[in-house]
Amino acid sequence: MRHFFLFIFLALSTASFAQDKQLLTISGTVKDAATGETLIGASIVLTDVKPKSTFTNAYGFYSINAIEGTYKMSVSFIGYVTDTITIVMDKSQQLLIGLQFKQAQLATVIISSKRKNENISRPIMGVDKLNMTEMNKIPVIFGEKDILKAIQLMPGYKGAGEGNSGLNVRGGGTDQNLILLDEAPVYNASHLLGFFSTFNSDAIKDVSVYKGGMPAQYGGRLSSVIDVKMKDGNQKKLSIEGGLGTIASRINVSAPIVKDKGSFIISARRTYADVYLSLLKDTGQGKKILYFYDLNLKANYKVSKKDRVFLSGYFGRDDLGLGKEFSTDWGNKTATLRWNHVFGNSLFSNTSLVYSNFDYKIGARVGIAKFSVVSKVEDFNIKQDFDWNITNKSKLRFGGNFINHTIAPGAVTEANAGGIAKPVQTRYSQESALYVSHEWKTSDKIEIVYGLRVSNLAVKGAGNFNTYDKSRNIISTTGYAKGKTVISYFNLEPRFSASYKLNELTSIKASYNRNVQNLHLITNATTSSPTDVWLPSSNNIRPEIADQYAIGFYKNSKEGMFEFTTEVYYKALQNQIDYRNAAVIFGNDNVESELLYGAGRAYGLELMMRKKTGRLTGWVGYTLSKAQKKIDGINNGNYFNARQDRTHDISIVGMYDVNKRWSVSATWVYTTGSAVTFPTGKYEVNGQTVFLYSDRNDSRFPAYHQLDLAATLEARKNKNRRYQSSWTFGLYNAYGRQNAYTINFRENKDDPSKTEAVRTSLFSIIPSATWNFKF
Amino acid sequence: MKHSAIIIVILSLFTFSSCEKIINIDLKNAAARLVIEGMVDDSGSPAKVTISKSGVFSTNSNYPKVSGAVVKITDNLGNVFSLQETTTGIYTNTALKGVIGRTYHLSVLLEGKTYTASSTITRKAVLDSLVVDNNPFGGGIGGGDAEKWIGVSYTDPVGYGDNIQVVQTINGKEDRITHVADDFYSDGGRAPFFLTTGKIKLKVGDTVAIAFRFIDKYVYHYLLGIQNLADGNTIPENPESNISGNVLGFFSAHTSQNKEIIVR
Repeated sequence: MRHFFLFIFLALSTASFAQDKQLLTISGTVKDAATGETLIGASIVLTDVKPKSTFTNAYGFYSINAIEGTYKMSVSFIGYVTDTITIVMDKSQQLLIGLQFKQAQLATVIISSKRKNENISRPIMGVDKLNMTEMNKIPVIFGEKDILKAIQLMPGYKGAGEGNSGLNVRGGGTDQNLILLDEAPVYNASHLLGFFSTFNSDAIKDVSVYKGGMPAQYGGRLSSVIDVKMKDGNQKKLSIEGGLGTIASRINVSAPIVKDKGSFIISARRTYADVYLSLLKDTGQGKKILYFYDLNLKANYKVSKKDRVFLSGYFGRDDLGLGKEFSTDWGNKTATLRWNHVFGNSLFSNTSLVYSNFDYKIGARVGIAKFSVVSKVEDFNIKQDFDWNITNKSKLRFGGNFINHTIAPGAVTEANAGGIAKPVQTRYSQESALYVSHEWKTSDKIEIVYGLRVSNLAVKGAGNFNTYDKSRNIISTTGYAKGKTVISYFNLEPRFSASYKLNELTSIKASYNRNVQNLHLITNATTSSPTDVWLPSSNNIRPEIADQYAIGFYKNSKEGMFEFTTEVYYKALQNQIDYRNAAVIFGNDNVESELLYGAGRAYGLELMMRKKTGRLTGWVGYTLSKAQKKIDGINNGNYFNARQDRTHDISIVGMYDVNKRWSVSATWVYTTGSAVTFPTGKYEVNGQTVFLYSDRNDSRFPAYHQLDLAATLEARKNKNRRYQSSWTFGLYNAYGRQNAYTINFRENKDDPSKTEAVRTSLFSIIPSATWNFKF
Repeated sequence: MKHSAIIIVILSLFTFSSCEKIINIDLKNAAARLVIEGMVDDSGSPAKVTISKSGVFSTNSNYPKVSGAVVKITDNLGNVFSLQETTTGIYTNTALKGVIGRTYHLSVLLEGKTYTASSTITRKAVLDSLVVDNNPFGGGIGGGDAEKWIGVSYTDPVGYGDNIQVVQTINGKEDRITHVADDFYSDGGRAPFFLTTGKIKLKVGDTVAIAFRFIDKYVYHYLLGIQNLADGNTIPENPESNISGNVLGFFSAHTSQNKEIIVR
């Protein structure tokens, strides 16, 4: 520890005192000139003897240093016209820059050479930035744009299959992804059990995903960070956008509060799957309900030149019901209040208060018994981040956060038939972290980012905490008063990554990361559902730990048309969780007695070739990987393939601009089937035939592959019309591949000597059409 | 109330596009394994131990029975009951009647190896009555008439941790489905426990006989494992047996009550 801080200090001193002349700073914000929306990750290059460069942060803020003189400053952002300004540096100054959006159609995007090769020099590995313009062209089910589905088309990210919301990143579990919406964690990022994601892409400005090399400001999950940022809203004029689709409609209204000072955005979406249901035969069971809606709200206001406040919120809910017999609804609520302040010219501060809530309710009537289940996960989070541009070569990020988690894991009450509710205790815990991260260009060839995150989880009372033996029996119970600490876990999470430039177009990178996870999703089912239980670490559950090592090779073609990426990773996981046979997860206060623990490992090779410019753009990705677990009590304690182990994974994405009005796109994915346990024999017990199983997950589902197509038609430009419109047509699963959702085995009714495998697939070919408008 | 019920509802709602098909999958055949199933009952049925072997997929449900074992059941008072092989692979003793509060130890000696297990009859739950109702998850969702199902009303003893098993016989034919329940939501209460049916669909006029057992928690977890396998929404693995020696099956000492109802 002491050595680490000494190192930081030395690094900072060399970096800051290397130049002796008076350094001046130019800082400010980069925006879209038409809407005033801030641009994240825009490139700023100051032309000098040696060009100096920087990028705007998550709030569009930049800061760059230079000694007195006159410079050319070029500002560029993908899809925008590069702006070059002459700067006379005689004093430190602030400069607001507006960039013009380039019409996407047929535009050969001009980007600065620095920006073009950003992937080469930046030391961060395993990071992908989703281009929202590109994302909007990717074909999706029912024509609903979906960022989580788009992410799955990149190497390293695998969907858990149709009808599963889960995302497995580099062999990790579906609960190991930190999904943030304006800094608020989203606990269940799906609608209708995974057919749609909770992110209404109309309201989304920027998505960054990290599958390795997570910077130290992120923590709390092992596998990935999906950082989603909402749009701020149009600062110049009222703008209304929307779409009418086959399964959902959406509308997006944004306007300035005070022109160029503040704006708001309201974005709403609702599905109407129940319309289709009403077409089904009425069976006398009453009304069927099946829909979801989303509401995104955000407002921001520039209080002064150096202060800006943001308030953002998300509210989404799924509702599903069947007459009086069964009803369930679930959803996320998040709210984020932020304050940006710039100290001096180069120290950017952001303070956030974040509220996040996921809850579900279930009601069911069985005979005269009326059951209801209520569950929630609730977080209060306070966060402070500093972003300090010490010099152009040295940047320091530091900060901390404190989260209070309250988890009420689905207690069941029975109202009518005399049954008494079994209490399931609410769990309280507090997660805190401090981090520091230093990004340092040590030379023209080498850039490094190194940092440390110090995290702590304190499990708090009130509550009774049990220990268990191997037969689920309680050995001891200890009661704790409110606010008393039951147990606390302290962890150091070092993060390191470095890039070495072989030449302007080629580099190699290496990284090491430790991540710790203190919230665990408990589910023993083969499909995910909103009723899965989240649990904090406890006296029984230890924090999950992942150590990831990765190296990569990056090459760009000369004109920046092609980008080639290779990454190899190895992950070692500790304190992984699995389940005893016939584990009762739902409504069980002693759920921890059902858990088994062990280790995991995942390794793989990821290749990606991307074509970035021209009429045809897109990429080809390939992953060769392995993900295994070793759990005490399963498979005789030997390593077995994790369910998400998929040997081969191929994705091909192509987008083509046919002419000014038409553009088409296609995606094709191929994945080795997930690892499953198939029966290896049968026997009779309790009067029935039961299948015999041998090694865990030693078989495979059939390979999964699918082609999706989409076409967009822009309406003819009409000067007399105030609005623009476009049509999007989609064909999901174009060749009607019957991918397996489940495979169950049964004896043939007539001939028991025959065992049948019954495959259930969800979707065949699904066409869709959406009409989009904007004015 | 199970999680799988939600999935079923969702899937049924998507029936306009989902589809089922029988496909070809090459399955491996494991070597035969020993299956021991033992039972001690308080209602007058003889104590019974069945020993058989698992088969390959092409087995016509006639699993080979295993002869020549020495089978004994001892209780915690030191009484020893020896079970005789009455039919090939089936060992019985009519004198052994389960008593509440006693622990029974099974010992099976076969080809030089001894397999042991224990099970305790801790207390009993009282079967009160049977009811008939419409099954909300049966038949009706995608179309067709709602099916009937039988609810078992019983008084659960106060205190958590009680487990029951119900065997349903429809018109004299045992419905080969495992039904077990815990008292998470019904401790000390009378919430009826509804029974889904297997291949047989209940219709008006059917006679349903119910055997209601109070089982110990190890047996409960074993049978819950069997029940979950049949439901299909769980990680498939062999349920944890309470018998030593890496065999399949279970040994249960339980109380049992019987009742009949005619579906109206």
